[in-house]
Amino acid sequence: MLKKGKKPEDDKGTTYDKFTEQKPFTPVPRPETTAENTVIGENISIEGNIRGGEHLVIEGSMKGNVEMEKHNFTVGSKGRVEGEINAQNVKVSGQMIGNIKTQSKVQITKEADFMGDIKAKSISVEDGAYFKGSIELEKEPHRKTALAAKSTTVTTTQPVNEPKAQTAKEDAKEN
Amino acid sequence: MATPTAPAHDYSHPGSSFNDYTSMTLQMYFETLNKYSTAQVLDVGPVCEENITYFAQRVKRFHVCDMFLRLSRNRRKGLPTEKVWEHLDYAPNSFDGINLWDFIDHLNDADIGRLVNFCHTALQPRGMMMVTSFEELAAPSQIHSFVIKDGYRLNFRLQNHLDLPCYYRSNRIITDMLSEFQTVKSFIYRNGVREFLCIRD
Repeated sequence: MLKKGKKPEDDKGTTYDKFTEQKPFTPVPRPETTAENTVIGENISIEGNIRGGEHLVIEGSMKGNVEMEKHNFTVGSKGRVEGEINAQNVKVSGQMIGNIKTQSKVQITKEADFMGDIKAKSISVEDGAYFKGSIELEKEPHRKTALAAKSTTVTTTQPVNEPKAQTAKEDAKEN
Repeated sequence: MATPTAPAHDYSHPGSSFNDYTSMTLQMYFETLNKYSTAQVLDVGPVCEENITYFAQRVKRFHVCDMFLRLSRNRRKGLPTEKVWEHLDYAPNSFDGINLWDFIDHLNDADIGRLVNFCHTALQPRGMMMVTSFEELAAPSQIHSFVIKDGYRLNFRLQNHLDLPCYYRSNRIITDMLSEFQTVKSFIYRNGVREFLCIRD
C-alpha cells in the first residue's frame, strides 16, 4: 500500500512539473554506486580517510587512508592513491604510494606503479608492473613443517642418482 | 677495477642453447637463507610474478626495487642514470640476500661500481649476493627474466617492455668487479649462463 503523499515514479503531477520547470535539475557529482561497488570517477579528487562497508574502486585521485576490512579496494588503471589501505582484497592497476594490509590477497597488475609495503596472505605481481617495496606474507603455522615433510619424502623416495640431479650436474661446470 | 668493456653486439642467440637449466647457485642460496628465520632479501628486478611469490613464501620479508624498469624508463626519456640510483635508498646491513640476476649485463662499468658498493653496504656481514651473466655467444639481445620453477629450475621469459643495453664481460672482469666480495661458488652452464654466489666478509 502506498503511503499518503508519496507518488509513484511515473506520476508526473503538476506541482512536480512546475518545480522542474523553475529550477532545472542538475545532478550533483557523486560516487557511482552499483550493487557491489562504489566507483570514484576519474575526474574526482578526494582528500581524507574512508571507512567503508562496500567495495570501492578509485579511478580518480585520492589522498588518505582506507579502512574496509571486509570489502575489496581497487585502484583502477587511471587511479592515483596515496595512503594506507586495510581491506579484504586489494587490486592495484594504477599508481599507488602507501602500505597495504589485507585479510587475503593483493594483486598488482602490469599497468601498476606501486611503492609501498604489503602484508597479505597471498600476492600476485604481474610482469611489467613497477614495484618498489616489500612483501610480508602471513605464513600458515604448519607450513614449514609441511615443507620439511615434503622435502623428506622427495629425498627418501628418489634414488641418489635421480635424473634431475644428473641434469643439474650436466648443466653446470664449476669454475 | 675492471678494464673498460664495450657494449655487446646484437647477438641473436641460437634458440637451442638458450634453454632452461637447474641453478646450483639458487639452491645453495636458498639452503643458506633457510637457516635464518627472519631472512630479508632484496630483488632488483625485473618484476617476475613467479619469483615474487616464490621468495615471498620463503623469507620473512621480500623487498623488490625494479631497477630494470627504472633504468629503462629513464633511457627512453633520455634522462641520466644518476637519479635512478636514488631508489636504492636502503639502510646499511638491511639484507641477508640480494638477487641481482643479470643486472650487471645491462650496466656500464661505472654503474656496476655503484651497484657493488650499494650491495656491500646494504648486505649484512655474511650476507649473500646472487649474480648471473651471459657468456658472449649466448647473450640474448633482449631482456629476459629468470623464472623460478620447481627443483631450482630456471627458465626464461622475454620482458618486451624493457629496453637496456647489453654488455659482454669475461669471467676475469666480472670477478674483478665483484672483488669487494668473497666469491664462494661460480658455475658455467651449457646454455651460456654464468652464476656467481658472493658473500660479504
